[in-house]
Amino acid sequence: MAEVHIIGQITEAKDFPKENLFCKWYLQVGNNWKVISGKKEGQTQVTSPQFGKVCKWSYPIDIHLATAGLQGWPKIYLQVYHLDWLGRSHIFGYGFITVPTTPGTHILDCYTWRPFGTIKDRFVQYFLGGGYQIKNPDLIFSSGERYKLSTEAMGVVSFELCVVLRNFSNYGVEYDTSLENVTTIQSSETNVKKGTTSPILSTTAVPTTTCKANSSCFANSTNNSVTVPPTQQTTALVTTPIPASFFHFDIKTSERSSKNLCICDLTIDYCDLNCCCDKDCSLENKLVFDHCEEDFRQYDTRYCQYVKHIYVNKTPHEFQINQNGLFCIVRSNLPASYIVQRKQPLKSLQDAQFERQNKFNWPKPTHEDSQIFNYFNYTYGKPLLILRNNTIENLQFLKSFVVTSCVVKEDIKYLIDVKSSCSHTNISADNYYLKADTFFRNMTIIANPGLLNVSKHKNFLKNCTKDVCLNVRPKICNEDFEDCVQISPNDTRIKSSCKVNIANNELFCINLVQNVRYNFYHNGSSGLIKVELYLILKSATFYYHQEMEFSQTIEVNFIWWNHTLNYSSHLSGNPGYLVGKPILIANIVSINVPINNTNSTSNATSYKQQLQLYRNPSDFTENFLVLPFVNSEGVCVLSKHKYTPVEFGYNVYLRCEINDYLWIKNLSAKNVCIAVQNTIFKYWALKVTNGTLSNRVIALFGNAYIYNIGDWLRPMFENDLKDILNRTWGEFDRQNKTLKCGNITTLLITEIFHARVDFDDIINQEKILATTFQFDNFQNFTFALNHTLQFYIKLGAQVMFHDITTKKMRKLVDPPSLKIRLPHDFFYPFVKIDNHGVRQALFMNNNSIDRICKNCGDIVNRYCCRYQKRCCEYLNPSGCPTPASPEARISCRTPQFCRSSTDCPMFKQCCDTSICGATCMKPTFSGYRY
Amino acid sequence: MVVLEVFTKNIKISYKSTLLSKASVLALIFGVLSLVLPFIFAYKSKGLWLKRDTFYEQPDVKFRGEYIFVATTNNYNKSVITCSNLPHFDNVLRPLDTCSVIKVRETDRNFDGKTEELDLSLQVNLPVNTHLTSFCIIIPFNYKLQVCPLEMQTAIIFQELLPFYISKYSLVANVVVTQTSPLICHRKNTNTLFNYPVIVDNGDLNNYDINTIITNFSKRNISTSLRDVYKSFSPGKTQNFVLNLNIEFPEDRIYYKPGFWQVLKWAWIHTIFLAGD
Amino acid sequence: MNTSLTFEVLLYLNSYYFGLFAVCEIGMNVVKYMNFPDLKHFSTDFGILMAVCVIELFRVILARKGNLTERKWPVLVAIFLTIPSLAGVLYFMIWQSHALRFEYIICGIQVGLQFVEIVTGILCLLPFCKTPEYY
Repeated sequence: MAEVHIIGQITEAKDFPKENLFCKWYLQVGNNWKVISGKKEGQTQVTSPQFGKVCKWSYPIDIHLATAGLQGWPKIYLQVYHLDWLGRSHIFGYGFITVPTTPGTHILDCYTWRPFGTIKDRFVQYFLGGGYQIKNPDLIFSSGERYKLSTEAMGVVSFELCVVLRNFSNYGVEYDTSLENVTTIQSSETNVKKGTTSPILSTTAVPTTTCKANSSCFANSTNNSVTVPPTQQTTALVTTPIPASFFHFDIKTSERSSKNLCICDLTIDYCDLNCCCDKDCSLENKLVFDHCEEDFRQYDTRYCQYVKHIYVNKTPHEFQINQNGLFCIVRSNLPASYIVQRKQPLKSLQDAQFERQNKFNWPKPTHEDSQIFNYFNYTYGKPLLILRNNTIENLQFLKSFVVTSCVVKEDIKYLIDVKSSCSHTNISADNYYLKADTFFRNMTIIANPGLLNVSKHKNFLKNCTKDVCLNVRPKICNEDFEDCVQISPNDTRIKSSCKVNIANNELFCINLVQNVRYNFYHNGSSGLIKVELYLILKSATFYYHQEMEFSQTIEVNFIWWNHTLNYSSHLSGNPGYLVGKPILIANIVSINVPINNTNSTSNATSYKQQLQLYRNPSDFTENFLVLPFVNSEGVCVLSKHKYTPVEFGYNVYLRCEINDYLWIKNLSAKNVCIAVQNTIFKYWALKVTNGTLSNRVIALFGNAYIYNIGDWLRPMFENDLKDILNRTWGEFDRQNKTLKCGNITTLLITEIFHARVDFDDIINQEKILATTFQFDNFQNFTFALNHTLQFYIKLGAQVMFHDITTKKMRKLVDPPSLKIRLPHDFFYPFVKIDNHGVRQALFMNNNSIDRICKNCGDIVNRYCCRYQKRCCEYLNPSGCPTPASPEARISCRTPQFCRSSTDCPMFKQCCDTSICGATCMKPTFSGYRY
Repeated sequence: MVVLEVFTKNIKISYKSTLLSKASVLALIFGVLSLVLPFIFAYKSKGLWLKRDTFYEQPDVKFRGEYIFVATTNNYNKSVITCSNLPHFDNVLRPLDTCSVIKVRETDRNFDGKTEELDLSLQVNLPVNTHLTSFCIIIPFNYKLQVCPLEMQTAIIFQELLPFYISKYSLVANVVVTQTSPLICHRKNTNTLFNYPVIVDNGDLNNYDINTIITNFSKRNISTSLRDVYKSFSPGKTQNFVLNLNIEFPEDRIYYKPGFWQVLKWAWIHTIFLAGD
Repeated sequence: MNTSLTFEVLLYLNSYYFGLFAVCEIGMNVVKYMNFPDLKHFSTDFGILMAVCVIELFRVILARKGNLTERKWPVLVAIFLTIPSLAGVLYFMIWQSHALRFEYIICGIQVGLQFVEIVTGILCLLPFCKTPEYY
C-alpha cells in the first residue's frame, strides 16, 4: 500500500472582516483510502489577535494515510467561525484545499467563502447575527449544481503542510525526487474569486486635440476674439449707409500692429509740433522741433533682443536692442499670447447702467411737489395749509440758520410743535414780519384738506365755510402771555409804526411783534378744530449807529382739542426717569374727608383730617423741581413762566442775584432777617409753611401716581428750615440806618441719588432713591434801610446727581420646603423631651404681629398688613388710623405698590423698603412660616 | 483587549567622527552658527530686550466739579470775565464772574462704571453790546488707570479766539493721553506722581493766571489733551454766550516700561526660541 | 414582524444616538456652567446626567445581550432600567435649571426611542418565555 504522511499546521487566518475566529477542519478522502493514524478532523482554538488582523492558530496536523489508488486524493475542507462578544458563533467561511501530491513542504492559501443572502437576510444578519449555513458539507467540494449558490468572499486560511509519500513507485507513480526538498507555493483557487475583479485601467487613448499647439492655431483664436461679431457688422451695415469698406478699414487698423500708430499725431494733414512720428511732417518741418515727444510704447526688456523705437535726427528708427545681461530671456517657448481686455462697445443701455453700479454719480435733484394740492387729511408732518388771498399756501415761519438773524422759512408741520426765535435786522414799519396783521389778517387756516372738494364747488375758496376755513382770532398779551385780550382785527392797538428821530439818530417803533404763539386745537385725523393766536407786541428804540436787531419768537403748539394745559399729566418717564426730563414733586396737604357712618342713622357726617398729595396742574413749579431762571442781567427770576427746571441727570451749578424789597414796618430786626431768608427760600422754590419743608415729596419714578403714596419720597434735610430761620439774627444800628443780618444761607445744595433698577423685563429704569437738601454759605449782610428794605444778594444753587447703582444679582426663590413634623414624643423612649418654652415665645411673637395687623383694618394677607402698617405710619406717624384711609388701602393693594411684585412670587416674600418700595425681602422675623 | 499607545520613544542615533575630520568641522561650524545667528538677527532687528510696550485701556475719569473760564471782551468797562467755582478763586475774583449756569452731565453709556462722555454747558451773561474776543476754559478731572495703576489730576484745556459776535460755541472732542516718556508700572503701587491739582487754589492770583496753569501743566510727563476737535459756532448778538463742550473719553493707548519678567518673556521668545533646538 | 430584529435595530440606533446625546448634554452643561451665572442646581443636574449616562449604558448593553442571546432576564432588567433613565431624560426636558431648545429636541428623541424600546422589548420578551425547542 502506498502511504501518505501529511504533517503540518493550520497557521493563520487573515483578511477576515472580524477577529475572534476559530476553524473546524475535516480530511476528506476517497473510499480506497484508509487512515492509519492521526485524526481526520479537528477544531482550532479561538484566536483574537491584539496586533494586526491576522489570527494565528498554529494548529498541528499529523495524519498517516494508506491508499490503494490515487482516486480520492485527500482534501482538507474547513469551516471558519466567528465567536462574538455574546459567545455566539457565526459561520464566516467555507473552503477546501487539496493536499499537494508532490512530497515536500508546501505553504497553501485556502480562500474561503460564505453563502450570500438577500438584502433582508443581510440586514437581519447585520443586527442579529447568524446567516445562511450549508446543511450538507459535501457541497463545499462537490461539483454539482453550484451556480445556485451565491457566495461572498471571506478571508484566507494559510496552511503549511509537509507531504511524505511512500511506496508510490511500487505502484507505478513516479515523482521527481528532486522536488522533495523544494517548497512549493500553491494556492487553491476555489470557484469564488477573492473580491470582485479589480478594474483594469483600460488605456484608451485620450482624444488628441485637433488643434495643435502651434502659432497658427492661436492666431486663429485671437482673430476670433478680437474681431467684431459678424451680426453686429451686418446690422451696422443695414442701419447706416456707411460703406462696408469703412468697417473693413476700421477692423484693419485695430488689427494692425502698433508699428504705424503715432500717438502724438493729433491733427490730420498737419504737422504736429515735436511729433517726430507724424507723417505729415516733412524733414524741413522737423528742423523746427526741439525734441521728440515720447510715445507710450511698452518694451519687454526681459528679452535679450527686442525692438526699440528711437528717434535719430528726429526721424523714427527701429533699433534691435541686444542685451547681454545674464538673466535675459534668449528664447521663449510660450505659445503666442493675446491680451484679454475690455474693448467691445457696450450693446445696450442696460449694460451701461449695469456698469455704472458702484461708480461715482452726481445726485439727481428731487423736486418736492409742494405746489400740488392734495385733498388728503392731515397726518403727522404734513404741512399746514392756509388760504390767503384766495390761494392755498403753506403756513411758514421764519427761522434762523447758522446765524441768529431770520434767514430761512420753514413750513409749519401738522402736530410738530415749534419754538424758534430769530432776529430781524431790517427794522421798519413796513417789515412784513414785524406787523401783527401778518399773522392773522386775510388768512384762514384750512381745518383739514380732506374737507375741501374742488369738484363740488368751483368757488370753494371764495365761500369757504367756517368749519373748513378757520378764522384766526388774535389776542394781545403782556409778557409771559398773561392777561390776554381778545381784539378785533381792525383795532388800532395793534397797528405798528416807526418814527425817525433825526436829532438823536434813532428810530422809535411801536407795536412790533415780539412773540407769536399759535395754539392749534386738533382732533387727530379729523384735522384742526380751533386756532388761537397770542401776540406780544413791543415798542423799541433803535440807534442808527448800531446794528439794529429785533428778536422775534414764534411758538406753535398742537393741542388735543379736549385737552387743557396740565402739568400734572406730564410724566418724566415710564416708569423710570428719562435723562433730561424734569423731576416730579408733590405737596402733602391735609384735607377733610367725610366718613360715611353706615350704621348711624343721623345725617351728620363726621369729617376726618387726612393727608393727601396735591399738585397744582397749572403751575409748572408745583409739579416739578425747579431752580430760578437767570435772565441776561444775571438776576434770579422765579414765576409761573420763568424757571429753570432741574433735569434728570444734569448737574447744575447756578448763580444769580436777587434784587428784592420788603416792607419792614413794625418788625423786629430778627423778623426782618427771617423775612429776607424766607424770600431766598422762595427763590429756591422752597415754599415754607410753618417753617418746615416736610410737606414736599419727590417722585421715585417718572410715572409716579398722585394717589399712590408709595411712589413718593420725602427729601432729607441736613438742617431743618426752622433751625436755619431760628439761627438768623439781625440788629438795627443806632440811627436805624442800616440793618445787619447774620447767618443767612445763600447756597442750596441738592443731591439726588438714583440707581438703575429692572422691572421684570424692562431694564435700567432710573429710580430716585434719595434726595437731600443742604444749605451752605452762611453769610452776614448789611442792608441800607429806608421805609422799605432793598436787598441785593448773590444766590447759588447746586444740583448733583449721583448714580449709586450696584451690581445686580439675580437670586432664586427658595424652593417650597416641606416640613414634616413628628409628634414631639415620637421618639419618647429614646430621646429626652425637654421643655420647649422658647418655641412658645416665638409663637407669642407671631400673635403680636397679627394683632397689629388687625388694627390696621383691611388685611389682604399678613405681609401686606405689615406694609399697610408702614404706610399708615408714613401717613400718620402717631399711629394707625382705624380703619385705614382708602388711599392707603389702595396703595397697599395695587400692583404699583409692590413694584416688583412678580419678583416675589411667593407671598411669604414681599416687597419692602422704607416706604412700601421695591426690593424683595424675606420676612425678617424667624420662625414664621406658612 | 483594547491596545493603546501609551509611550513612544525616539531612537537616538549617534554619528561619530574623529576630531580632525571634515564632518566634525562642519558640525562645529553649524553648531556655532545656529547659536550665534539668532542673536545676530535679534540684535539687528532692534535689539534683544523689550524696551517699551503698550496697552489699551479706557481711563476711569471723574469730573471734579471745578472749572475756570477766562474770557476777554471788546467792552473796555468789562474787558475780562472770569468764572470759576474754586472756593478761593471765587472769593478773589467774584466781581468778574458773570457766569450764571453751568450744567454738567457725565454719561456712562455701557454701564461699566466708567464715564464715556462729559457734556458741559456754560452760560455767560454779557453786558449790552459786548461780545467775547477770546476765551479759555480749564476743566480739571481725575484720571485713573487700572492696568498700570495710575492716578492723576489732569485737565481739559481749551483756548479759542473769537473774531466776531458769537452767541453759541460748541466743541466736540476726544480726550487722549499725551506722554513724554513711558510710564513706569508697579502692579501694587499706584503711581501718584501727578496726582496734584492742575490749579493751585490758595487765593494767590498768580496761580489762577492761565499762563501759570498752562506752563505748569505742560511740564507733566503724562497729561491729557484734546484730539479730533470739531468746533461749531453760531454768530449772533445776544446777551448770553453759551459754551457747549462734548468731550469723549475713548479707549486710549498708553505705552509703558515693561517689567523684568515681561522683558525676560520676550527675550525668551526672541532669542531662546530662535536659537532653540 | 420580527420584534427581536426591531428591538435590536432600535438598540443599535440608541447606542449611537446615546453617545451623541451624552456628548451634547455634557457639552451643554459645560456651556451653561460657563455662561449662566445663576445656575443653582448645577451639581444636581450634572449628577443626574452622569447617572443617566451610566444607567443608559447598562441598559443598552443588557438589552442587546438579552435580545441577541434570547434570554429574558437581561431584557427584563433592561426594561426596568428604562424607567429611571426615562425619568432622567424627562428631568432634562422639564425640571432642570435651564432647558435649552436643543436639549428639548434631543431629549424628545431620546424619550421617543426609549418609549418604543419599552414596547418592543416587552413584545420580544414573549417568544423568549416559550420553552426552547431544538431541532
